[in-house]
Amino acid sequence: MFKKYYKEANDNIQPNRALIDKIFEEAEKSSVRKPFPKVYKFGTAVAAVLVLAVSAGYFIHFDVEPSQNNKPQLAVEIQNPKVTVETENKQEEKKAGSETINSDEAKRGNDESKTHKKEDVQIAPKEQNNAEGQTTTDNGKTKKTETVVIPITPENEAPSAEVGQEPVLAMANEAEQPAAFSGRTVNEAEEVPENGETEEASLENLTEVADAESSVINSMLVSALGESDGDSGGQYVFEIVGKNEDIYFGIWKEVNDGESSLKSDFVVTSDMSAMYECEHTGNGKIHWTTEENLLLD
Amino acid sequence: MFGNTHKIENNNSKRETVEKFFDMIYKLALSQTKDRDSADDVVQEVFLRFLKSDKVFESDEHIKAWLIRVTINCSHNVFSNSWAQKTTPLTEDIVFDTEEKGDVYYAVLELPQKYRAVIHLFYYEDMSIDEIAKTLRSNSSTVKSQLSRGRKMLREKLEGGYGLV
Repeated sequence: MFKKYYKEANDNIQPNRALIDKIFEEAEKSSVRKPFPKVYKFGTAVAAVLVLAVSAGYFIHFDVEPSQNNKPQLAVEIQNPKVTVETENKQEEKKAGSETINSDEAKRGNDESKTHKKEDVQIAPKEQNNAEGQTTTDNGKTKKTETVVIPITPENEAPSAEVGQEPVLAMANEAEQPAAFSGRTVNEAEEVPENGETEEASLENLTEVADAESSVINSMLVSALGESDGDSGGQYVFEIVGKNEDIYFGIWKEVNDGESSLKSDFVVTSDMSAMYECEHTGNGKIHWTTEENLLLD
Repeated sequence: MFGNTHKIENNNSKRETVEKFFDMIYKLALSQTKDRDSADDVVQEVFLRFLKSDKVFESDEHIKAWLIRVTINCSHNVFSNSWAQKTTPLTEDIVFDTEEKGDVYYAVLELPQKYRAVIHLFYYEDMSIDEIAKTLRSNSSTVKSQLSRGRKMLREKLEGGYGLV
């Protein structure tokens, strides 16, 4: 009876078929549009490379473990999404051959050292100059060095620069695999026992999450769940849209050939111990079951 | 010359395809978005992607699967665009000739989105669990579980369940 009523109800619905002509008109219009000029394509590519380079630099710094803090690194990263960039030290000496850089050394003249150690990074002199922002004259002498320091301990305050990249996504998706429709069997829709509890949250009082914080969470989830889908090869992006007291709310996207599609909405606990798919129930609420913790797979 | 002829034939073929699947996609989109305007937007977006796509489809079933998946994703994106201020409208301008049809239809609309999709494909499109799983790139067990939970919710909403097994 349910099936009969549901079918008849849907058969009762009459779509606006005039939309078909509109679709073809739109398709015609878009096919006439001028192609994107090459110069803009080049500019976009350069901008993308710069964004990736800045992101990479940002996360390399976050890979360094805090030296004066017993808190786990992930927790510190979440609490300190903003980055302070200080330019204070001038290094006069340059040693031949490889050498060890220790940015926490007293050379900086700042014993309080809110900075982190860059431990045992072996690089060649020329590369070291570049890494530390030195400018080198023609005869090889070092004129000036500026050291970039990124403190991430909780005590730090008054950030002077924020570094964090929010992925720019296009909306699209497509299914690439053909489905074989083979007909249904009688007993295939059996009851499946439920596990886990259902939880619900309101979206009304979400607080915003800074881009840098969102970016850090994205990188952690990528490291936990992988960079891409094993089947489609699409790159995973975890976009945080807000948080309440102890839960982040986000959108899990998959980017294929520059186009993104939504994989699912999710919630993740602020200690990064659990992540669940969630569903919008309407009326400004979402719900999820704690049956499948995606971070435990 | 040959190229133009080929293009016209191709366009005619695509128009036939759009007309063939238009109703199905619209009803699926409406069940997902619960709003006629949003459903129109989704349908337009889905078929525009289809028309622009250079993808080679092996069969009508392949096209159908592709369209269903893109429809569900586009519907999802409609939701995600207003994630933080989500107040889902419930379409109430559809008039049914019997009370039972209205009860059943609106009960399905009140389900969470992923259950609605599975219930719609199973009960309206007569797709099997395996077919739904392949179309949505999901596991059969997941689809089975969603179908089961969807039905459980429907039984609670529809007292008596209209014979829902």
